[in-house]
Amino acid sequence: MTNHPVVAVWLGSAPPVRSIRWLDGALEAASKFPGATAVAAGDPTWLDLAADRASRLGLPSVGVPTDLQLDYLGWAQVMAGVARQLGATTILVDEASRPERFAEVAALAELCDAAQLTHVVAIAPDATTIHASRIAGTLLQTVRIHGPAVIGIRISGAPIDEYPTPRPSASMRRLDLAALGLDPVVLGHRALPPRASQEPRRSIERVAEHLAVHMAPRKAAPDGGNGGDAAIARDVRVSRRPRDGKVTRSGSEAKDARDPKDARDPKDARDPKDARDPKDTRDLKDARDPKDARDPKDARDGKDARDPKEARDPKDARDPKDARDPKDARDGKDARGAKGARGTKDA
Amino acid sequence: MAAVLVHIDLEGGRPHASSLQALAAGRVVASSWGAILYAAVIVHDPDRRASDAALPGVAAARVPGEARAIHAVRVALARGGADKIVVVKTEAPIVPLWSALGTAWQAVLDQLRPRLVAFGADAPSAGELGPRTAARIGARLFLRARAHGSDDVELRDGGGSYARAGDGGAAVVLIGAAPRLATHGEDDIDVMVMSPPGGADPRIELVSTAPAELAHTTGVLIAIGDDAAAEPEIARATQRLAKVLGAQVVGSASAASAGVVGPGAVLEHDAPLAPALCVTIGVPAIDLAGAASLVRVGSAGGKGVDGALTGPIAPNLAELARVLEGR
Repeated sequence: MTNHPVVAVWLGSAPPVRSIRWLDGALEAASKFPGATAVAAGDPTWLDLAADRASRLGLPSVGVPTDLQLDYLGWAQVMAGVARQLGATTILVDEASRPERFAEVAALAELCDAAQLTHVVAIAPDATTIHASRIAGTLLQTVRIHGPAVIGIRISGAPIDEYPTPRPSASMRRLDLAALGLDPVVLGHRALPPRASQEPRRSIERVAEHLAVHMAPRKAAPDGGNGGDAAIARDVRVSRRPRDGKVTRSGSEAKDARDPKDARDPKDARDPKDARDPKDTRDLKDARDPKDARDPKDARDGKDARDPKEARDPKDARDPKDARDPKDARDGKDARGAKGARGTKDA
Repeated sequence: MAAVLVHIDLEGGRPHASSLQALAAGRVVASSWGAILYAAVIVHDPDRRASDAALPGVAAARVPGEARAIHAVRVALARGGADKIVVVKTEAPIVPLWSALGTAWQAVLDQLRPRLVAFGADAPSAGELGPRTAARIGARLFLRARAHGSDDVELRDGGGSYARAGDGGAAVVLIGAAPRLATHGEDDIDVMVMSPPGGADPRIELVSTAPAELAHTTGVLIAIGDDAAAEPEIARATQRLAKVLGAQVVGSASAASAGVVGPGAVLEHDAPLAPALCVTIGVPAIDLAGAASLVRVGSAGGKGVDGALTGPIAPNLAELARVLEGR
């Protein structure tokens, strides 16, 4: 007996920013799979549009009405809940219609424990396998997908100048968050703060600032260096001094770091706490010189970052209980601090 | 002490330029936040499964000859500012896919439990590994971010979200721009080698690779309208901007006949495009995906437009190119 993929296509939580032809393209791609279902979440107007475009291609649709504004992981939790309801094994994601959708591919794959594939420009079912072509830089990779997968697609439909205003859809199946096993209050911890719509940048300097993060990075200089942005360097030059006043990796401190007094006990290298697998994890330099400086008193670092107490301090890193357990994410629990969750402001 | 972890893609055995940018940003952040900066490289270990070499599209990122190759990478990363280097050996071929690199990368995350993970936004693996890393550790995700500030450095993306030293939780950042830092002098830093068990996810099978069509690009495009292409001054300024951005210039057959657009970059009317960024000059007949960032030169802004320079096109383009060249 062969198991054909059960397909759902995630259309997202808001209508396309520009043309809806990419939305149509995602639906057309999904329509190649028998029994595929279109899924959207968000406000009623958007759900009506999603249902309307899906019905034109004969696809059934599911909508999750909510006024929450969530981040990539929040929406992924919603879609993962719908996928569980539908028994979907393969989820297509329209990653072209809105910029935030791209990250939801990976988040969905993580929550569904599925393989992931982004930037797919062609897709075709073949019994239990899916053939897909994706863009990787200047290359077109052709891959075969076996088993559960989340696939981010950027496939356009036919050009559309105007489309009729969709009417409220009676055919769309509505699921509320509770039916998906999600608590809106808990899910709200993944909420994004409301922002005013951003006006276009209108000065040369501001446009250049925006373009700078898209510039091709300069090749590294022969003597090293990073080919970075001189304009930013002007801002951060003084910041290369850590808070404790030590110049990171300066010549004198590097000398200190190699001082035998600072070298750690070679036994530490074999401490299971320091490595996942002592046989596999080794320090090349330690192998050459047991008096190497990875001591907690390492002059360069102050403390050894691989000290488990330090590395797992919830103040320094996320709480493993919250962040590492995939169940938390599926349950809608927030994996990051509330302060961090709301840490935004206008640029 | 907290860990800042930078993923390093290799390009022909050397760190990718975008990864070095991420390393520079990581250096600034780690110094400000009092963290240790780790640079992690995933390499193919040919000894673990020799048959992988025959797979199509497999990069030559290996650790051949061990000492010399690792030394070369170590020197580059040390000069780029890393405090410590992690080399992860995997039996999987080095393909920029989570399915190939995910197992090895997860071992690094488990080992270091970083507070901040940075990727070069234009590094080959960033698109697949970055968001999945964020989802896996429940972190906030910043796309095309950069470091701001002097004493208290923060990372900020174009949407206004930021990560600061005092924030709770982890963050994953795709670095779009980084400060130009002086070369760090010391080459002799720790290298930790890991060989976690497991290889590629068999659910994704790479069959073949071929050159991609320009219309499918996910990079930066400059689309020029026919009227603008007819002006030699605009055409020159367009080429200058394309050079500094590392962008392809696309347009109609008419623009091609004016010499602005190369023969392989001619688009049909209303061609669908989904690049990361598109700069339109004049009014080109393209149909841009909503995911693309859009900057207009010579036409008005509006909803979903990130930047708009109205007024005379050629001077604006020339000035824009000049400002970017000076960065």
